[in-house]
Amino acid sequence: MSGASDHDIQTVHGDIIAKQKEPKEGYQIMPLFMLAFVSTMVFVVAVYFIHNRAGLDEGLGLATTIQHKGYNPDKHAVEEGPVIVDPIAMGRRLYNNCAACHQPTGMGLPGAFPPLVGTDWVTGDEERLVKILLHGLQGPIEVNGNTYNGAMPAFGSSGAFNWSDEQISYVLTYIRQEWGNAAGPIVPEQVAEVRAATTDRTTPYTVSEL
Amino acid sequence: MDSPPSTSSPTSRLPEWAEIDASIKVPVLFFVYAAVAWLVTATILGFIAAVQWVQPAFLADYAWTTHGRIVPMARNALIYGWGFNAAFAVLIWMSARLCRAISPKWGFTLVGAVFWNAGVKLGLLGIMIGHSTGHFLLEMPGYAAALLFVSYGIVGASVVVLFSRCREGNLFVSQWYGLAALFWFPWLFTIGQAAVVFGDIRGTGQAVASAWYGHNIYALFLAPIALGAIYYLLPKRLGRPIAGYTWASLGFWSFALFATFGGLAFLAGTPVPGWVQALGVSANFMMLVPLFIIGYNFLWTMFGGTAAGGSGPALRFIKFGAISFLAAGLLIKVFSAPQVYVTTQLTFVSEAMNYVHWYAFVTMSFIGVIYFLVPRLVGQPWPSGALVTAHYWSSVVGVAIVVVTLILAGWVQGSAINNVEAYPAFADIASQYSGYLVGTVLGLLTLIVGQLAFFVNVLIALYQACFGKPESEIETLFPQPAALEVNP
Repeated sequence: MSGASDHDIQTVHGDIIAKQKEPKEGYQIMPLFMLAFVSTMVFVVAVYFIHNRAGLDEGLGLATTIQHKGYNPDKHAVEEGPVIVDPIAMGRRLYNNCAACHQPTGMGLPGAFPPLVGTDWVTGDEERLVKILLHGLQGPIEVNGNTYNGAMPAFGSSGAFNWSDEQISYVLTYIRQEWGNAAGPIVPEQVAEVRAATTDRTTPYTVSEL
Repeated sequence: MDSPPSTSSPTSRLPEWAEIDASIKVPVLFFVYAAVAWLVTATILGFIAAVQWVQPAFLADYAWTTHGRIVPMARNALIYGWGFNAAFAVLIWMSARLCRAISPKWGFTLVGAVFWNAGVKLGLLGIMIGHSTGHFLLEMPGYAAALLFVSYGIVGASVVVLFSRCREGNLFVSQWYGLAALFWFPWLFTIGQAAVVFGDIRGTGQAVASAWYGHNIYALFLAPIALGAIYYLLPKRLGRPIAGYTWASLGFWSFALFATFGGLAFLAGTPVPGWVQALGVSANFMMLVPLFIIGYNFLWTMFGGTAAGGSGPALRFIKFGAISFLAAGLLIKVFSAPQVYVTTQLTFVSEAMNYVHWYAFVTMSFIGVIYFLVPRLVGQPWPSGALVTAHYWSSVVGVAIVVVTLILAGWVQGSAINNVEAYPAFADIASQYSGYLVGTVLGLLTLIVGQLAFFVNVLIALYQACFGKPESEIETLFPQPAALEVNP
């Protein structure tokens, strides 16, 4: 059975290093293959890094600006323009709150929740639609020939959601233009107007009131 | 050693191997016992977590055993319980033997060992009752982290003392890796705790610091010590020097330079600046340099000689660990290629890579050293050769099943996630891969069987050491080290 003692390990490997350190004929710090391999790796990886260094230049630029003696945060701070959002994208995200009943397809559930597709309730009167969302709706309602009897919660200040004018306008614009619906958008100012006109309303609407 | 022998003062005499072993026996055996107990615990917790992937309702009615607590408990038990205890045992053994130094006060080390394990227990309990910090591998609450830090200081100091008493003129490659890791961990742990837990940095910085720490606990602590163990046991059991040993120092320095940034590649495809991801991917590809050198050292030492090499369980585990290290290095290149990570990123593939790193490489290498050192410390061969064989084969088969099924599950999962049209809901995706995860559960069950065999073997060996033959017989047994290893 072969094997080495711990002292053997030290002396044998110590000798290997000692032998290597002795001056030799010629120039042989690194065999050519190793030199080529390491240099190629460094070159390829450097090229890759330079091509994929997104954000590094901006970060370094910002760091140099902040570190500069003459830096004044009030003067040099980047001017922030108005925030531009895509109402459809925001509305799609907000619609997650509606999809449990009206379904991701907007088709509702037969007998339980009315569809949002191809109905005048969604694509028709804008003020009526805003009112329903702000204060909710309960009792029987006829949509596309079927009658539903349920309760939709309020998304305005009288309900638990308490959405802003912007949020309500986004989700309404979304449902008016998705699934083949092609009605015009609803802007936040419209929602604000309806909200101001119906401030004393505390209970959900019924169909006869609308 | 070149100085002429002076008068018979005790310091001028080189210590006997038996004296060295006696001076470290108690703390090393304690570390081995604690490590193996943690290994079994960690794998059982990992098994519960895997069952919950397939059956989410399993043990979900109690807050203490929900998935969100079981997973960090399994991970921390594996790294800080098994990994660190085993690493301490390996470090102390290699340092004492390769430095030919006697540990002056083993009681000191034992205190550190006891408090380290108390710290890990406290930390796991903290996670269990909901005090987890929620950061990868820094989940243990602050009170446990403080205890770990202090006890690491005690154990680390005793290893430094061994180095300071070194009686050998040379420094072997295993010692470079061991000593470097010894000083890297406090640095990592301080930065990790300060930046992620106490500093509470937000946003992108948090993800970057967390990924850096989580990878480096492997790359700068567990991996170097496991590499040191392989460098130590291969020449020792095969009886021939490391092939291409003159390259080992280039391998070490390039490993130290590039390994630390490799963790940033796990952020590829996530919302961090592009150059951070590019840095991680670049570092992973530069790791080809140390991988090439270390691979040459290992493979040519293992298979290069014509003479029949040594055998025995220690060598079998160490060989498996060495090959796993090389395989892990190549796999990580594949998974950090942009064409591949668009599918595999943030899927079960990262879990598979954890198993390759932590189990197939680090754990198998540490187990190899434990199979080597326990018979020498207790002075008797392993109680049961059958249990050793059972342990080896169930570990190999178990690890292979777990890694392969997780990679398949991750690939299916990633493809489904990228195909939103066909799989709009989470449940649709989960139904695609859950079949593979049943395989993972079975693989973990296989691992547990092997580790229980290992645990029983260790317990019997320690029982015999405590209540078996008297101490004096150890020295008479020692001159035939080969006889101390069972050859099943």
